[in-house]
Amino acid sequence: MCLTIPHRILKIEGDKALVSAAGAQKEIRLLDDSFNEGDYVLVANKIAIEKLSEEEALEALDAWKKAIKIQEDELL
Amino acid sequence: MEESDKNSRRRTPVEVYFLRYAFPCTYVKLARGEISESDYNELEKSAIEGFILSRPRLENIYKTAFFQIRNLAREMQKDIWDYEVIEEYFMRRHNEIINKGEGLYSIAPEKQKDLSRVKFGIVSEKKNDVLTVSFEDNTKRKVLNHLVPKAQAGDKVSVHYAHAVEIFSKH
Repeated sequence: MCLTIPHRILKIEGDKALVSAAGAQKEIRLLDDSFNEGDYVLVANKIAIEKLSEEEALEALDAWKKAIKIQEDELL
Repeated sequence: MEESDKNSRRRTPVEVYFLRYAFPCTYVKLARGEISESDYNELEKSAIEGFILSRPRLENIYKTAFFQIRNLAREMQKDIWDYEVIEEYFMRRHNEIINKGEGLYSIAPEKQKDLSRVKFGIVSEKKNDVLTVSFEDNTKRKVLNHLVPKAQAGDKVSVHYAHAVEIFSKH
C-alpha cells in the first residue's frame, strides 16, 4: 500500500526543507515553490510532493499508525 | 492501450516493468523500516537503469502487491510473473482496490488515494526533473521524471505517486 506518514515542514531554505515526522527530523527537497513552513506534506523519494490540510494529515497519520500496527502484528 | 505500446513495453524485462510501477511507493517501505537505505538505493537504481533483481526478492519486498497479484494470476489462470498479469494489476486492479476502499484505503484521505492511483495524462511542461502532467479530469500534477528522463511536453505518460512511470504513444 502506498500510504505514507505525513511530514510537517519546520524550515525552508531555497528548495530544501527540514521536516519532522514521528519525532524524527530530516532534510528533503521541495517539488516546487508552493510549500510553506508549517505545511503538512506527503513525501516520496525524499521530495515533498503534496500538501495536506491538517484534517487530511490527521487522517493520513491514522492510516499510517494502523499500517504500522498491521506490520507489527505480522511480525509476531 | 495501443498494440505498439504493448510491444514496446514488452521489450522491458517484466521484473523491471513491475519495479518501475512499484518503486514510487517504495519510500513508504523505507519510512516504515521495512527495507534499508541500501535496499532502497538498489531498487531505485534497478528501476532507473533497468537491471533485473530476483523475483523472490521483489516478491518479498512488495508482499502486499504480490498478495493481490497472486489472486489476480489465479483469476487469469496465468503465472504471477506473466506480463499480462503484471500489466493488468497496475493498469486496472490496483486502482480498483483503491476505489473500493479496500484495507487501509478505507480511512486514507482522498488526496493520498489519488496519489496512489495509476493515472494517465499528457506532459504539458518540463522543467529540470519535474514534469507538469494534465489529466483527463482537468487536474494537473507536478511529477518527477527520473524513471522516464526522455519524456517531453506532448508525451502521454502514466503517473504513480508523483512519478511519471512510462511513456506511451505520442499525443
